[in-house]
Amino acid sequence: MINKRPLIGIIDDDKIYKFMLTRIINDNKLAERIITFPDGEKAIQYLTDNSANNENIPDIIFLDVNMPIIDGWQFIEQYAILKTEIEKKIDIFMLSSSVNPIDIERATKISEISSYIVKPMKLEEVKKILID
Amino acid sequence: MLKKLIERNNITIHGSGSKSMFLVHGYGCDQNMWRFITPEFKNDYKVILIDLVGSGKSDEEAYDLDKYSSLEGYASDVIEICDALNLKDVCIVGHSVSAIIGALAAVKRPALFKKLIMIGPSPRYINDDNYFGGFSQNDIDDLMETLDANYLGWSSAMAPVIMGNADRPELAAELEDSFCQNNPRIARHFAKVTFLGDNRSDLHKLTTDTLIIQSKMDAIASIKVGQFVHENIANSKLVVLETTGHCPHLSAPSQTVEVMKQYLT
Amino acid sequence: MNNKIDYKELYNSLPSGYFCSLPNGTIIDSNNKFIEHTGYTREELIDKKKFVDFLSLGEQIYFENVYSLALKLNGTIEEINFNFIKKDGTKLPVLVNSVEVKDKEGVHLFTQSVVFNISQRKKYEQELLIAKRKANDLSDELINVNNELLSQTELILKQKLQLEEFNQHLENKNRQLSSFAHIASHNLRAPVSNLLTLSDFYKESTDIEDKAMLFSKVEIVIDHLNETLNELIESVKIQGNKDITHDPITFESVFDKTLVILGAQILDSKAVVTSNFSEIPKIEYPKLYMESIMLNLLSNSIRYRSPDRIAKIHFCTEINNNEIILIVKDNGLGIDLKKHGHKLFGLNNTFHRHPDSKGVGLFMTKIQIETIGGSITVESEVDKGTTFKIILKKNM
Repeated sequence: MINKRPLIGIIDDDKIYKFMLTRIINDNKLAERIITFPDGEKAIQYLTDNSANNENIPDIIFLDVNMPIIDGWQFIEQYAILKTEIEKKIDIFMLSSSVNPIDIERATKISEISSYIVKPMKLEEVKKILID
Repeated sequence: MLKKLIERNNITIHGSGSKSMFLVHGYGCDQNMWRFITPEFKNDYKVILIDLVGSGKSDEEAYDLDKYSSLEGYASDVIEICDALNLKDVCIVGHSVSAIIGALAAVKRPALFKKLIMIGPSPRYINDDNYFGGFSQNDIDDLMETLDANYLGWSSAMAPVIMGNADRPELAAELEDSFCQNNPRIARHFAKVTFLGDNRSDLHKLTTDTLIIQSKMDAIASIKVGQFVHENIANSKLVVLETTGHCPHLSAPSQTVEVMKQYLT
Repeated sequence: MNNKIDYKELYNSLPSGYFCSLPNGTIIDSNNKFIEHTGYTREELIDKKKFVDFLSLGEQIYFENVYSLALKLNGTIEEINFNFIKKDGTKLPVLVNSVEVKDKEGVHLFTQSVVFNISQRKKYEQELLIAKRKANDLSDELINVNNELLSQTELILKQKLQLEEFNQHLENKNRQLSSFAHIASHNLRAPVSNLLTLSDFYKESTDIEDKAMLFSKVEIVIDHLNETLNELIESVKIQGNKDITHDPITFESVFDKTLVILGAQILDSKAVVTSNFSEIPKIEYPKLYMESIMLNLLSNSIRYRSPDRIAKIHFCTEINNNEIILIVKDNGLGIDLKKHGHKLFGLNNTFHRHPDSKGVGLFMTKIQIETIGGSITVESEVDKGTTFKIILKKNM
């Protein structure tokens, strides 16, 4: 049985990383579609604009912590408010290249975050998340 | 300049004559000790009286410990005053230690002084080999102790008056009446300079015409000392008065004046 | 009681010594007490002895020069202390009051003297004098000890200050270290993790073109990594170079140089750049750092100017609390300090989606400023402008 493949959102300012994650996902045909954002502000803008359109709302978001303009934490704050307007539930995975116990603890306390992951992500891990 | 000197040495001038007579008091007192002598000469002489710096009503602030560590300090003051007053052919009369001060001044400026009268002089008070001064070092130490034990003028009630405190007129009046109240610290220093000094070698330098008035019984400057002084001053005359005590000009003023007048004419 | 008072009796039984003497000093009469003081018999004393005979040589000088003179001039004298030497040689401390008695013509007839035995008082006086001397010595000692304590205290205070300074220094070093560790772990890990993944891709890839594309990406990351490393090393060098020489510089001349370097950008942006260094025109500061600070801040302000208005940038100096302060004020885009304040001086941090914004300048600028012992703070309002306030150093 083939599940409906999810719509993925990648929010990260690191172009190289976005390229690689996209490549892994596409090579393994793990997603229906991938939308990328260079920072949190653009992402919030998109979600707001498409709050009525469930099909355009990603099922899964890979969210980097360190970004300009609006970083990962700020995105989550704004998303928490926006969430009520959006019908679809989004699984948000927080990504960071640094293992910061403070960050990890902070992430676990936030209900909107499903998990905190350290870059780089291995294929297996990606698969696990996307195949659910 | 002259005003400063007048203040410094409490200079008083009595009489007016063409001739000048300069009286310098000895240790322990001030110009008041000449009070019986001055009237006798003021008709013929301009009589100049001073208080040595540190004594009487002189300016205590001017008592420089270094300057007055030797009698030369006082001698230079005398010369300074003579010059400031434009005196010539001065007859200088000195009692006790001031007889030596007069001698030192005359040695320095022989042209300034015509005559020198010494009353009860002593060039050195402490005995030495072959020299009878009359006292030992112990005796002088004794004197120092006595000075310390006598508190005339020590009370701070007196001190401000001596300094010239204008708002205590009753004390000032008291001081007016009591003479010879000297600052104890200065009295002590002056005593040391006087009684521990040695000016024997200065005597033979003196060329001025000198009269030595000697009291027959003088415990401080005995006849022996008077004779020594006479022998060491070339141009000197020694007269012995039938008096007792170290201050014939006070205890026997008429005899003293007579001898002086005889000498001066 | 109607007794005729027997004055002679009274006189003889007076509890103080009394004697009468001639002007030449000979004692012609005395009461019993005085005779007792002398230790002689009446016969041995009257008409035979003088008061001076009972004094030491030293005291005789005092007698002649002070006592006699004062008595002669005042007519009276009081409270003179002598040490009366008795016949047997023992000393009796006394106080003497004397008065001259004169006839109608003022001729001095004889002198009357009273002699008080003050042995007890004298002993007490000696004790007092000794105590006074001791007290003075103690007082001197105390003053010395006090002075010593004071200088010790000064020393200790000095040492305390030194320790505090050193502590501060250590704290600073610590802060720098942890900040460095943080930056290193943060800014180095991302590119390295990317390289790892890229190399995995590269190994798996079979297509030459693909490999080439992957490799070019590797090159980009390596460049980025290299740059970051350089920045970090440079910052360490700066922080380690605390003893860099301070040159005497005038703000105006460094500023002029900066205007020349950024001439093209200023022209291009039509920015209006002004300055006022009159309040404090000179400083002793590492020339290179000052040039770098001015360059970074000016280029920052030009880059982040608002598209809605002419860029106005103003540099000035002021002195406050004896500290020399450099202020750079612009009317540009401003920064949301609440959101980005904490990232402002980090390495590789950007706040605007600007193609040119690398954000490296402020990181290095802060390191330079802090190494010299100063600080940099910022005030900003979005779409109004930004003011940087740099406390450079204390005014010498």
